[in-house]
This record gives sequence, C-alpha cells and structure tokens, in this order.
Amino acid sequence: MNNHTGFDGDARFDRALRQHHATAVDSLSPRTRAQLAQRRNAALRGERVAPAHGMRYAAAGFAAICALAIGLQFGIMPAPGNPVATGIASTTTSSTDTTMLDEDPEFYAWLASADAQQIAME
Amino acid sequence: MNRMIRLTVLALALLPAFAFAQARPAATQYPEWGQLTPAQREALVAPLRERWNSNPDERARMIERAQRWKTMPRDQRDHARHGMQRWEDMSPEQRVEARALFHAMRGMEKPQRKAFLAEWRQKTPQQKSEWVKAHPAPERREPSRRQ
Repeated sequence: MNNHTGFDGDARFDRALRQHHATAVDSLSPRTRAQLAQRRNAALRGERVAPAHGMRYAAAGFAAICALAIGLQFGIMPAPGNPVATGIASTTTSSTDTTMLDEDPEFYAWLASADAQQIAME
Repeated sequence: MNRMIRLTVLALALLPAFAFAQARPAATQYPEWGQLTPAQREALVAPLRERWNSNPDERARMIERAQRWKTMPRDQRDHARHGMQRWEDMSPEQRVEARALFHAMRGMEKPQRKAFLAEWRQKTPQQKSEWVKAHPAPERREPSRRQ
C-alpha cells in the first residue's frame, strides 16, 4: 500500500515536473528552441559548438589597438606649457613680428583689395 | 557576456575621444597690456627693439608707418592685416611684382586702373616680367635682422 502510494506520488511528481517543463518550453521563442535543439544534437554527436563571439573579440581587439595608437599619439604631443613660455616665446622667434613696419600700411591694404586679387602674381 | 563585450568595445571606442578632450589645451586668454608681467612685455617688445637698433636709417619710416597704422580706421586696418598675411606668403619675385604694380596703379583713376588690369591680364609671364623690370617700385632697403 505504502509502495503503491509512493509510486503514485512519484508519478504525480513526474507529471507535474513534465508539465512545468512543457510550460517553460512553450514560453521560449522558436529561434531559441531551434538553437537549443541544434546544440543538443551537436552535443549528442560529440561536436563542440563553436563560440559565436569570434567577430566580437576581433572587434574589441581592433578597438583596443586603435585606442592605444591614438593614446600614444597624444602622449607624444607636447603638453600645454606655460603660456608665457609657449605663446609669447613663439612671437619672439617669428620673423613676421615686425612685418607691419616693413611696408606702407596702404600697400598692405591694397594687397587685400579686389584689384590686387585680380592680379595673380606668378 | 555579450553585453559585457559590447560595453567593452564601446568604452574602448570612446577612449580616444576622452583622451583628446583631456589632451587638448584650453585656449590661453591673455590680459590687457597693463596686466602683463614685465617679462611678458619684454618678450613682446624685444623684436621691435632689435629691429629699431639694427636699422638706424629705417627709424623715420618705422615711426611714420606705426603712426599710419594707428590712425587708420579699424576696417581699413583689418584689410591691411589681410594684405600683410598675403605678403608674408609671397615669394621674393612676387613681392617685387606686387610693389611695382602698387606704385604704378596708386595714382590712377578707376577707369584707368580697370584698363590697366585688363591689359595686365592679357600679358604673358614673360611680358609681365619685362614690364616689372621696366617699371620698378622705388628702391627699398631690406631691414637687417640679427639672428
């Protein structure tokens, strides 16, 4: 009797579990079910499912290399220094600092005029 | 897992932008002349002083040009600055030609100038060169600059 009761109980438990499983499977999308079926079949055949992340790892690696290259480029660039040392020092080395006194300002104005623009100076 | 990889790729892709934003120096804002330090003023004035001391014969012209710059209307001064930039990009030959043309055209009335320009455009490079040789601008001494 006890055995019979125990058997019924196991059967009920099994049915309930199968019912839950069926409900869970029904809630999956057809695509997921197809993937699961493929993987199951592949596992039964002893095949190893190739990871689908190859391209993603490659993209991540490429992005890392780009970031490193650009970062190194910035590292080589001179850091902004003292404005007095950089900005004003450059004016002292420029040969154009006193250009404004080389010629008449009227001549410079003429160079920017429409007349002078028409004359392409070869 | 996929989400983590996506986030990593995104972070790495954005890294250069962050690095650029940090590496880019902010535009330096200098104060008015009165607020500059003596060292800054000295650095700015030094080339002019050197030019003045090196060219005693040019001093009168330098003063005259500096005064003309000062009295020029603002728009004309801006115009002259543009012309000055063009001058700086010119070769020595182009400068000779530009000076010759300016001195030739400065006394002309508009119709005469227009006719001159039309005629100039018809000239071959050889003819232009010959014209410049035949109509040189008043001689100008190159300012000496100590290195």
